[in-house]
Amino acid sequence: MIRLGLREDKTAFRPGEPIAGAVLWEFEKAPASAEVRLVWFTRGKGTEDGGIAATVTLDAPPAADTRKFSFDAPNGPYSFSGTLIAVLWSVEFVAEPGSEFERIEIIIAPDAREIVLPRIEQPKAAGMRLQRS
Amino acid sequence: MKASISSSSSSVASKGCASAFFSIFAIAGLVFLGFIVKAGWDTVRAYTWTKTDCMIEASSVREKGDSVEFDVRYTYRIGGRNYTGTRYSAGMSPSMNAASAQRAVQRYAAGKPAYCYVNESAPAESTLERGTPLMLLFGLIPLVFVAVGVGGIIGVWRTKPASATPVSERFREGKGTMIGMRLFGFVFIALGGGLLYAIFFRPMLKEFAAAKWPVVPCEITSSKVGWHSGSKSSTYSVDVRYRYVIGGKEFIGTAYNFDTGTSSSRGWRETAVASLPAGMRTVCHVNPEDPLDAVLSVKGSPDRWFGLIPGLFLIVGLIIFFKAPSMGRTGSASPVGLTITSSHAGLPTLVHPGTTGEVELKQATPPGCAFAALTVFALIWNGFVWFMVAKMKGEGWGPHLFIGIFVLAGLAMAGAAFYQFLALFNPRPILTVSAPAVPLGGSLDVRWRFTGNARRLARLTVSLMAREEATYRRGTTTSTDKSVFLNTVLIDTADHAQMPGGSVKAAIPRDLIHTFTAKNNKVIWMLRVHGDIPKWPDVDAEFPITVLPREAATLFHEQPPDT
Repeated sequence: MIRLGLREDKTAFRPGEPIAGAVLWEFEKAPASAEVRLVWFTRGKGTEDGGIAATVTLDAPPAADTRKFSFDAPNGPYSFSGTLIAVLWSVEFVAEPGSEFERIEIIIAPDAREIVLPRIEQPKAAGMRLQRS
Repeated sequence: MKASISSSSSSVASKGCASAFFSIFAIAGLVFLGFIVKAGWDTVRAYTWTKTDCMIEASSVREKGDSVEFDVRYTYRIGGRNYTGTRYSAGMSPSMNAASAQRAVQRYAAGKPAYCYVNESAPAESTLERGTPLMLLFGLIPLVFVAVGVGGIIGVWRTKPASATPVSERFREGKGTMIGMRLFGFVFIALGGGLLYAIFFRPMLKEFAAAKWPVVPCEITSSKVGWHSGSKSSTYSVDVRYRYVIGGKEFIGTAYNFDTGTSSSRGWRETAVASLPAGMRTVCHVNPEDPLDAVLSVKGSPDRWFGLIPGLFLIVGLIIFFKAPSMGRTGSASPVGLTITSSHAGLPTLVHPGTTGEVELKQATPPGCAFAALTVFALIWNGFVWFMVAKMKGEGWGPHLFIGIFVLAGLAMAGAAFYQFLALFNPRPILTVSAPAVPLGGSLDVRWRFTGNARRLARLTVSLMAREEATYRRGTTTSTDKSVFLNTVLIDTADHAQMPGGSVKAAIPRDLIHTFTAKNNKVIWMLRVHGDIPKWPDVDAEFPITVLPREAATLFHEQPPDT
């Protein structure tokens, strides 16, 4: 069982703001490793891109525990949604082996609001507006 | 909020198709590997046999059809019994030709003592020569096929749906993938490089050396164009045999020139054979250090240039080998179009790419690129198509109509290349901006000027544009879709006095996305210059600029963005 939470249930951040939270887990056996990762990735028409912006390694994780973590929201890329591409951010807790995980999707952008790109109508423009799930 | 990510290969049908595809690799590799394992076992086994004295009873070169064989008979004694052996080589060894057969006759002359290798557990089994263990390296080739096939099938069925795996796991560096790609690249390099050397460079080097070889009288004993039927087409060879005398000893030669292999070119081979009738006395070039190394001609055949084709494999292999580290990473890339350094664990930190102040922008596609690419493509396409047309003489209307479509496409390509050629003579815009990068909400001073005659322009437009670019694969094709989300006209003039040069301020909206450059997804900001030229290709040039997140404004000695 994993519970991942962010302070005050906040899921939208400005660049530079702290992203703080805690993770609680209960496994049958102690995991070999446990990490909280701040990750960005793309969604949309293009093949997925992404990267791990920051990792908090939880030392010597026992079978059950609660740990706090904190990141600084990076300057970019901003969370945005366009006609073809969307960039999303997530905080993920991952325990190995077994790839046990929990994820919270967040927004990192100025004014803590996802940027929505306008669409200029062109005769041969392809694609549809992406929707966040 | 939880992200849900769709998996493209979740259906059983698609997994079945992918498995069938990988099965072909695995089965082909296993069959080939089976042959090599069998031959390899024979090779290795002979190295466990006992070296024994033997006596050569008879040895000779025997012609068998178009090939040459070495016949030998030798006797040896094991456990008080006499045995007779006839095997020359056990295991993997290069195929026999006239030269190697004659060398074997010299080495194992009748009446001479020699060593042979005898299987003590079955003394009737023996050989004079053992195979080359180095040839076991050929086993690496089918192993790669097996690895790709089996690994692919396991990967297809073990891959969890994307929603069932952590997103971050997909972007961790894949060391195993990198090693696999490097191995794959190495096989291409070894195969391509080896074939390039054997088919192209080695014959050329031999020709240079043979220019100094002595010329010796020789007599043609037989000559014909060899015909080798294949599954789809036939190939031909110059099958010639001649004899010559060196130091009072007669030798047989079978090499026409230094080129190896057969091909579908029959014409030059018929000419060569016609010039070498049986019984003709001519001259051959003989290596003074090895009288069995002889050729009739020291000129390369017209097929020689096909020997460059393995070079493509070599290039592909080199690209795979050296690009493997970036292939091992799944899509991770710099999120903005600047130099990125990681302060810790991949966190991107913006670093100023150079000095502040004015910079001249580079055009996205340098002038002449489109012309060069189209010209090369049109030449290859039309060369191939017109070669086919020439080959179709005497055919009916049907094939001509079919090839006509390709001829028309080739003409269209040639027309496009000519259009780009005309565009080379256009006036060329040069854009200078006040800073190498600008934050969202900031502004850039843009100056333009032209080289060439800008007065030919009837109308000039300079625009600030931004667009998304998404690259994706469908089957074997890679496509890129583009969608413009900003197009602001900075200047639009038909005034000839304004066109040769001027300046304008470009304000970057603050509520949009900065430049974003990942492997498959991009947000590109640019200044676009468009000039209408009546009855001539238009000027159309894009100059990418770097737009930074708002937070980067403090990096620049300029006005911070409006808040």
